[in-house]
Formats: sequence, C-alpha cells, structure tokens
Amino acid sequence: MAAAMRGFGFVKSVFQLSGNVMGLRCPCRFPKQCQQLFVCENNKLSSIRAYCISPGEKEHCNIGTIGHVDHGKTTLTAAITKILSENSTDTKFYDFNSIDRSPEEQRRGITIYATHVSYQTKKRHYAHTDCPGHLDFIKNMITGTSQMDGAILVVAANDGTMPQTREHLLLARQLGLQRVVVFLNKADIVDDEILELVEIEVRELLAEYGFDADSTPVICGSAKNALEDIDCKFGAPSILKLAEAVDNYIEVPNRDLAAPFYLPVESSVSVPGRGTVLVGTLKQGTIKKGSEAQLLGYDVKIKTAASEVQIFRKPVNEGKAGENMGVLVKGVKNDIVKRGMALVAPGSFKVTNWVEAQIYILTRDEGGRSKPIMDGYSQDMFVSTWTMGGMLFLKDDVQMIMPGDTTKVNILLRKSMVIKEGQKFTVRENDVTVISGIITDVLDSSNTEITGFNVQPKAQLRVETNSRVYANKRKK
Amino acid sequence: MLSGYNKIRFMRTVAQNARLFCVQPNKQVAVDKALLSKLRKKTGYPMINCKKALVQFDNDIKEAETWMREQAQKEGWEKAGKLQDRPMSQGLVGLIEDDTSVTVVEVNCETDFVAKNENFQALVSQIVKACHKHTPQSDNGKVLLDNNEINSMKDEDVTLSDKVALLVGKLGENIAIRRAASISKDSSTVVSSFVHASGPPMVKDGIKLGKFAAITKVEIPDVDGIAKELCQHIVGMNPTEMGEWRPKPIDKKELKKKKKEKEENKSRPEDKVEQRLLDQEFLLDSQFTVRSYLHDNAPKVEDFVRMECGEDLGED
Repeated sequence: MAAAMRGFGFVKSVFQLSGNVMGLRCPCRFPKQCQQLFVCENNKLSSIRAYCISPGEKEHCNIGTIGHVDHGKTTLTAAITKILSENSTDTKFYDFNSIDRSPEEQRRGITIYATHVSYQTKKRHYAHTDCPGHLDFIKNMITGTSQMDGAILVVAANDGTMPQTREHLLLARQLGLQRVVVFLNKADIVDDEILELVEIEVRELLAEYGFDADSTPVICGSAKNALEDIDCKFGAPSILKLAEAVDNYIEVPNRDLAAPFYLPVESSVSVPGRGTVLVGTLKQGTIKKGSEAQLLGYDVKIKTAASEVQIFRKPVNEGKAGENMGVLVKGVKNDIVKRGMALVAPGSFKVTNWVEAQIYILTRDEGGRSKPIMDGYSQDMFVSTWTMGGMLFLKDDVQMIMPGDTTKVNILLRKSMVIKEGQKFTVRENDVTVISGIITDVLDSSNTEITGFNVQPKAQLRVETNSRVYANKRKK
Repeated sequence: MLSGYNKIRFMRTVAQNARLFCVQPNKQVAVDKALLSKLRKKTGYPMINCKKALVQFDNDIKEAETWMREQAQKEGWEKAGKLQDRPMSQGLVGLIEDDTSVTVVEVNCETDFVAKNENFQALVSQIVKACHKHTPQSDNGKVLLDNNEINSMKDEDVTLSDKVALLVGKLGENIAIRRAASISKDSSTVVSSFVHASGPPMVKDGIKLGKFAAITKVEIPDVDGIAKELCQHIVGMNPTEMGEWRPKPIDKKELKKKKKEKEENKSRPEDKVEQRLLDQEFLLDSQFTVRSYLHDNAPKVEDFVRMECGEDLGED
C-alpha cells in the first residue's frame, strides 16, 4: 500500500500509524517545519487531519568561504552548520568528515574537491560553497546554477593575512562580489593586541582592493572551539555573530517585478482571425494586457502589442515573472515566430551578434575535449531556449585555449539574438559538452562577415532555353 | 637573630626580588603595538612570531628583525617537513632562453592562489635562472634533471632547496621543485619554445611563466617560424613520442588481411588518441598531418620536450 501511495509521485514519505492506518507527510517543500499529516485508511485517503500552511519562503543567498589552506575554512563551515543546527531544526549538521569526504582528503586533513552545504538562519536560507582553489570558484561561477552573492574571508589570527590573501580578494572581485565578511579564526590562541592588529591589517587590505573597509564586519572567533563545544566567547557565540553579520551585511540582488518584462518564446500557436499566441515562462517583470512589446531574435525586430494574456487558459489582466503564460500578439505571422525569440518591453533589451564571455573548457576527464581550442572555432551555442551558431575570437594575447583553462573570449553569433549579461550557455560537439560559459558583456552588433558562417556565397544564376533560370551549384 | 641593619638589608633584597618578579610578566605584555605592526609589515612573518621576537629582544626592532630572518630558514624547513606529504597539483613552469640553450623548470604548489602570487613567481624565476646556469652539458644536447639534482644547485651560495623552504615558511603551503629539462643550440639546428599560461601571458625578468611549455629542436632551415608553430602543436596535442620520419610503405595485402580480421572480431576499435608527433593532425592546419606538413616545408624535427604543470607522470 505504501508503494501504491508513493506512486502518487508527490508523496515522499509514507509511514504506518497503526494497523492499516497509514500516514503521509505533507509533500510541501518544508518537511521539517511542516508537521501536517494526511491519514489514510484502507487504501483510501479518508481524512485530512490538517492542512498544510507553508511557512513564508525565506530569502535565498549563495555564499562561500575563501582563505588560506590551513586557516580553517572547512572547520568553519562545519561549525556554522553545527551551531545553526542546534538553534533550529532546519539545518543539518555536516561534520568535518562529511565535507571532506574522499579518503584522500580525510587522510591528509585538507579539502581537495568543492563541496556544497546548506543551512538556514532566521532570516535566510543559505547555499554554502567550500572550494580549495581559484579555478574551482571560477568554474563554479561559470558552470554552477547559482551566482555567489557574498563570501566569508577566513584569516587565521595567529598568522595574520598571508601574501596570497591578496589573490583571494582579487578572486572575490572577479566573482563580482561587492561585500565580504571577515572571520578571524583561531582567536583563542592569540591575545587581544594581536587580534586588533590583524583586524587593522585585513581592513587595510580590503580597502586596497576596493571593498568598503570600514563597514565590513570583522568577527573574531574560533571554529574549532565551536565545533568542540568549548564554552567561551570565541566558541558558539562567535559563530552566531558571524551568521548575523552575514544576514545583515551581504545583500541579495533584488529580483523584482518592476523590471522590464522578458518572455523567451518556447512555442507559438496561430489562432485564425485573431493573431498568434506566444507561449513561454516570463523571466522577469510584469506583462500587462494591452502593453506594447517587441518581438526580437534571429535578426527579426517586430513592434507589436500584447492584446491578451492567458495563464492556464484563463485570460488575466497581468502576468508576473515566473508564470507560464500565453500572450496573444497582433500583426505577427506564426511562421516568423521561432523558438528562442523573446517578447520584451520596447527598448529594454538589445539584440546583438557580438558578445564577450568567460568560458571554461572541460577537460577530457570531465568528459570534454583533449585538444585545445583555436581562434575561429565555431560550433552551436545553447543558450536558455535558443541555439545558434557561434564563432570564438580569442583575445589578442591568447594563442589558444587548453582544456581546463578559463578565459575571456569574444563570440560572434550567426544571427542577432536577445542576450543578457550573466546568461549561461554551453557548447556541445555532438554529444560531448566541451565549453561552459557565462556572458560577461553584451557589445554592439559587429558587422564582421565570414563567408560560410554568417554570409552565404550568392548562387549564380544562368538562363537556359525556355527562359528557365537555374542556380549554379555552389562550388566547394 | 638578625641585627637591625641586616634585617633591613634582607627586607630590601626581598623587596627587590619581588619587584623583579613583578616586572618580568609586565614587561612581556608591554610590547609596543606600533613596533609590532611595523615589524610585521616589514618582514611579513606570522603575527605571533613577530610578537615573540619583540618580547625576546625587549622591543628592539632591529635585533628582533635579524633574529627573525635567521629563524626564518629554520622555521621554513620545519614547516616544509610538516607539509611535505601534502599533494601538489598546481604551480608554474618557467622557461628561459638565451643564445646557447633553452631551459624549462616545473615548480609545484598546492593552490593556484599561490601560483598567482608574486613571491612564488619570483622564486620560480630565481630557480629557472640558477638551473639554466648550472645545467650540465650532454652529448645530444638534451638534459633532463630530477628534483634532487636541482635542489642541490646553488644560487648565490644558497641551495635552491633552502630558498624553497624559506618561501614555504612564508606562504605556509607545500612547494617543491619537480623537474627540469634543457635543450642546447648548435649551428645546424633551430631551437624554439612556446609557453602557454592559462590567463594572460606572464613574463618575469625575461622568463616566461605558464602552465604548459614545449621546446623543439628543428633542422635548419626554419621556414616561416615553423618551429614555433610546432611548439604550439606539441603543447596542444600532447605527443609522447616522435614517430617515424619516413613511415614504412603500406602493404596492400596486409591491409586487407587486417580488415578481414577486424570484421571477424567485429569489436569496434576504441578511439585511440594518436601519441606519435609525426602522425598527429597538425593543430594549426588540420588538413595535414605533422609529417606531411613538415615534408612540404622541409625541416626535420630532431627532438622535443613538453612539460605540463601538475601532469601525472605515473610516479607516487
């Protein structure tokens, strides 16, 4: 019976209450907070004891730890999950060994691979990234699903800042982080004077790299003390203080509804006598019935208006970001519309065929390429809903890109598309993903013409008897 | 019984002693903060060591500094000993070129943060220079050195291993010299090199730094810088052996036989990556194999060396 109930799909956990009375947990996203039970007798959903009231969704924030190898990034991560799991039920405690999982990592006591853990404070839900190296962070930025919103810089108080701390801050800049929180670890083994000096030192360095040094919170503590339940001000209280500082200081970008609307078209249906309905999920903004719009993509630019907005076949006055909808547009023929076009607020988005991107070439071990990529490499690019041929142009001082490298390149698209900064894409060769990238800059359209790529050589016509016109075959 | 005078004297001594006892711990705490921060800025050694030094020399910054510099070497070795088991997959290769030869050295570290650090890059360039200076001669012009040989080389009376240990103490990360190779020039050949850095090219004191490097020795004439192109090809395509300059003519009968055998076995041959340089498809012009490209352009490849930072050499 339990199996049958699991067959519902949405039911995750089924357990026996008594005899043939079964209970099932509410299938909402908050299994630990939501204690609602559905009770089942004799194979029938007989009664619902309570209704699920989902707790208000918390803000989500992506964060990471950066710092020197021995300064205790992983210990801090473990300590955060431990202290927060004691204070609320939403967080699971990850001990050191479950973060550094591989046998090699455990034997040597250091982190080699990137890990992701999650925890919750009262205010937010966090996804935490713990990476050992520079390239790992960049890779995470390019290939990961989420952009990092902030970072915790870990500095051991007994060592002070290391020469490579500069490189850490440089990385934070490269990831586009505006704010970091500093945690001075191992504060229990030095005295107050040294703590003070290290703090000054860190602030100087922060200022040097363009962070707001005065308002950056610096928290002194000891992750090890917190992890080992040693009762002192550098133990659990310092971790809570850190969590609070991160809550208050790190900002989450507003994904608000006031932005100009952007609807990537997934499919379209022609309604005879009325126009064409574009179907897709609104990515940002609000689309109102009757508002003006532009249909862009594949070198096409059409001015139109959203004469009707439907959500699940019900006409509505407006549709908001995140909703799947159909939009009836005037004066657009169905055969022009292609998957990958975008319906946007007029003048709010650029169409271009020339962008700058940061790319990562997957190595052979990761299922990528073994050969390097040269200037003029062209292949199909897969970006959100569309696919388009793209040609890579290397920067002047780069001769080639080896697998495992990450670098900035310019990309020429075969046709102009709507493309946004921060959009991710992949490039595949047959069934192998070779490049993963993120758009860093949308530039003005380029009029570079490359025969065979974005320009087809004109076929020559010849006239034969009976005034028939033939096209000569294109020479190879 | 003590006389009155003696009693007073005794008490004074006690008092003096007591003062001495009191002063000692007070003195330890009273490290001048400004001095501490100055010393730390000047030397860059760990905060806690700076304090120790100042306490020891009673806030005399000069003595503290000299003492710390002496200690640094020892501490570097201690730290290096502690860290020597940690794995290193990052680092740099450094390449130097002059009129007589080309030398390339690989130095490893633990994270790429350190590889980007100035201190580390300065160390690599020092090592490359010393190595270039002290590389022994050989008959065929190619020398391969392992880490022990390089570690014992001296630069300005300091062994290279001492220099490495000093930086280990400073950066707190395992660092080690791995290997070196050198190819010398002679009148009938051209020696060319190529270094690939993962980001923008890095040059320090005329030494090219990067993640990959290749040196080739090509017979004269070097048409249109073909040796350079070949170096780039070697970095990109990772050949492990040279291959035959003049391959054996293919016997048609044997080919048929092989075909038949394959059909009988019916197992799909695995995608084999071509390891022989001359049989590889040329990177800069994929219509040709390297052999046919070179045959058209005359020079013959004598020798090559490729180095990839952190690559697996099949050792422990």
